[in-house]
Amino acid sequence: MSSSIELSAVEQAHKVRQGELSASELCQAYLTRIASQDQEIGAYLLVDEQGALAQAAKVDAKIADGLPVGALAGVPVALKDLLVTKDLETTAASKILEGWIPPYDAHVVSALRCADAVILGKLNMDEFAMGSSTENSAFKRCSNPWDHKKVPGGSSGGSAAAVASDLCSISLGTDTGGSIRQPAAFCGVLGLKPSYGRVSRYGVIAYASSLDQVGPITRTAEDAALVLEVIAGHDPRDATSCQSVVPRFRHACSQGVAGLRIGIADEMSLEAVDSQVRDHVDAAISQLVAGGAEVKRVSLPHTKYALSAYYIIAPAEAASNLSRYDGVRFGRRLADDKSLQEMYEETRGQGFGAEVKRRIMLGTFALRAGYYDAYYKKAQQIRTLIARDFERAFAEVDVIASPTAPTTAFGLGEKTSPLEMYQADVFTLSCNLAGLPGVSLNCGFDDANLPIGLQLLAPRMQEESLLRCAGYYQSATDWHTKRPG
Amino acid sequence: MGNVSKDEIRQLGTLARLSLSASEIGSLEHEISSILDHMENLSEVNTSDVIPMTHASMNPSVSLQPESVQQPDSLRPDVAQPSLAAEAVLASSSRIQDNCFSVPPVLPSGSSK
Repeated sequence: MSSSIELSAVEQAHKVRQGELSASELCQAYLTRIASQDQEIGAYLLVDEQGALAQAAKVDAKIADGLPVGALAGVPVALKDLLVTKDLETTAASKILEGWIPPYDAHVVSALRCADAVILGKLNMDEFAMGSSTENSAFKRCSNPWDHKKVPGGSSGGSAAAVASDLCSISLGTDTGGSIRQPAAFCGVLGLKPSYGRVSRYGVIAYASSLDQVGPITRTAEDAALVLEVIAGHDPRDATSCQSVVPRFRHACSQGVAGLRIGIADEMSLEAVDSQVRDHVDAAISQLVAGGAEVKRVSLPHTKYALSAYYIIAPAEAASNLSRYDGVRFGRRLADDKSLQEMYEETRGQGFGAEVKRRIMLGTFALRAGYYDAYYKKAQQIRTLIARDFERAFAEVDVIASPTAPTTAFGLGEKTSPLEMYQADVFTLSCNLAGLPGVSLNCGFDDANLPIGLQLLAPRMQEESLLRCAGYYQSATDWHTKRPG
Repeated sequence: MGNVSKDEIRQLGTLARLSLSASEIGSLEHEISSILDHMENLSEVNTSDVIPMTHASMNPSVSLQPESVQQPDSLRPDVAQPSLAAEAVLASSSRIQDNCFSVPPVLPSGSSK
């Protein structure tokens, strides 16, 4: 493996800026690695070799001309295929959008381009971000780089697997109920879900609009902080994007954890948690304590209702958001010679996969006249109670620590019932319901050499507390430097 | 809460504009019923005085809102902004006619007002 690939994104950008590393050579090193490794992993749905090399050449030309370059100069990034890219096929891993070439870039994609990042391609995922294993991709299987018979997690499985196996330097994923953090945990990398409103969703294909966020998957806390600095901030094209000032997130990574109060909730220490996961998470918390943090018990009494509330709210919003895929404005159309209703039904019935149809049906059920109060409204009220639990807890502590997932990566094809799959998100869902930022970072490996994730949650707009913990933890341990064999 | 029948699944399919095969109807009947069973635990919680949280920017108790969090402006000034060219948008469709999206006939042929 080329040594430039082993550098962090911060180091790569620095060397490119200094003229010590050519963006074109760096880009080529990744393209060569993708060509030799990705057949086994299945992280990419599309590799834009030509576009990436052209972009890298532009960065090199700017540097040769003495022009200023952006914060991610020459850094090879890859994007979950839920992010809309101008003139580059965007599918959401769904047959219904196969062949769609969008006429515009998502806000985060424009931001990366402005920062002189080099976009390598589009990454595999669960169709429309619905899933916890990337097994719902309509196009190809994605494997866990640590064990090819295991899932990479989901829905941003390609984004996590690509970073873990050095098929890109950094990636972007999206997180509606854990879709950045859980795959980051399963693949042994760092995934940061920003606060709701921190990053514009303009051009992010919508799944559940009151929950969706975009965020980075990286190896180091400093890289995640750098990406967040680039993509965060107000965007008038997303009415939910906050006007709060974007802090210098990188600064937080070196601040240490002295005096930081870490909460542990009994409700997140379930018996269902694998004992090795529990032991490593406990050890990680002890490491934070060794750095000067304090530990307090907190209570989040409504946590046990998060799964039910989430699987009413998210499918209801999905049923509404996905009504736009009807074969008229984009994507493929079937039964064009039949009636309008039949054209809609055939296009959607053939175009969507099983999990997407299941969630549309569930959402349609919950929103039906006469059922709305019993399901959707009730779930929104539970959501208020979950958010209040966090507010009370965060009056006492700065972050809340837990495992990211109850187990390490499970086997491909192992989970056969939808409910069993949904349980994989049991620790990540409540963060989205409350709009909080959360991070997952690697805190060790089980006996089968599968990575274990530590999840940290913070109050809204307090990503810096997460980065303080992650930066300190990575300075004191070397789990994040391990690479799959 | 609880069970849904095959007929209800068919009705939902029509509402959701999804063609479903007989085997899909069978498995959805079973899966949706078991998911709804799981959701019965929500009825344990008394929510009679609780305000529904409609989006994550909403603060469930304003008194505890961190000062740094500003509510987003939900409306922008009503001023025309540049938008995508019609040709670029229409290029995404599999069927266009006279610079419009084309769809199958909505009214049966031969019908008049």
